[in-house]
Amino acid sequence: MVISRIISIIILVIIIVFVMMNCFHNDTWKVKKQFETLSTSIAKKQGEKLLHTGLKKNKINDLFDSKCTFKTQLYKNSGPFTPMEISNRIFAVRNNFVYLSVNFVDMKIDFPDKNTAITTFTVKATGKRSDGKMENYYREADCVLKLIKDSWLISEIVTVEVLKK
Amino acid sequence: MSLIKKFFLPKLEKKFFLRIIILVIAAYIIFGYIFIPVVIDGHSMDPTYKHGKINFCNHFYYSFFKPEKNDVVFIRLAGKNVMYLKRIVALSGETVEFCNGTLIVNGKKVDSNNSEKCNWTLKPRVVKIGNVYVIGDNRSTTMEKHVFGQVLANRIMGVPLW
Repeated sequence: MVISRIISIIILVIIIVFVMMNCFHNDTWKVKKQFETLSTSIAKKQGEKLLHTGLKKNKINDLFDSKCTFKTQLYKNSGPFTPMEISNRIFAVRNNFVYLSVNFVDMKIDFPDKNTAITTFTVKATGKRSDGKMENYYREADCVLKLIKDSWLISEIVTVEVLKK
Repeated sequence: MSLIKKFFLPKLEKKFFLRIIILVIAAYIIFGYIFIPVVIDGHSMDPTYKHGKINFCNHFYYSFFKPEKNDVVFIRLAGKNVMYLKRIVALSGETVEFCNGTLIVNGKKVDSNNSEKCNWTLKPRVVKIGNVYVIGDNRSTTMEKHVFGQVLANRIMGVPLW
């Protein structure tokens, strides 16, 4: 009797948490969702169809602000870019891979004001190059998102140099 | 026989659920905060720590000791899911340089028994206050490809358990 009560309480809690997570989307959830979309759009499966690639490119365009600033250690990769320029660059890199997966882990999100979100995360990219070489890339980055027309758009990305030679 | 049966098919009573809950909480605390499980991915610390091996990050080690030269440490990026595994070669205020593959700290040659030979050359630089200078043991790659340098000491997450 007691056991069945405990089990039903656990199931009830799981259902409530599931409903809360799916029905009440707060800003943190929306920001995370943007990165999830970015991750799935950059990812590449072996033998990806051309139609799929085109759809993914459009999705990436929708994630960035009209002028998104990149600040990296490499001068040539720094500066303001349009969403089209960003997706072109991403796809130029992507074309060199047979398959590629990108994940954003350890994400922390702050909201300094209601229209701005500052996120810190680690980018984890692994894939196989066309020449057969395996590639692992880890980088910490800070990212600023702006709330524009009800969607959180990436407006600034700064890569963090954890180890300075 | 009854013991085996008891172990694999326990009675679903109050005590059993209590044990399960305690076990889950203990595992969460131990493996989430004290001994963080890690898989070594990469060859930066070859031959000391080889690619693919499993280890644990002893997170509380530096609650009792201070980071010292020659310690192998885990360094966090944004969090504990991705960490660098490197060796401390210099502490704050010390000068580090490489001269034709020889590591020189404060003007003295450092015997790199654990590390691979290399031909790196790096101009002298002073480790800033609150930082430590870390390098991987595998120096057989080019200097540009090897991730190393000075890092804030508060990014050190702990040491490998073995």
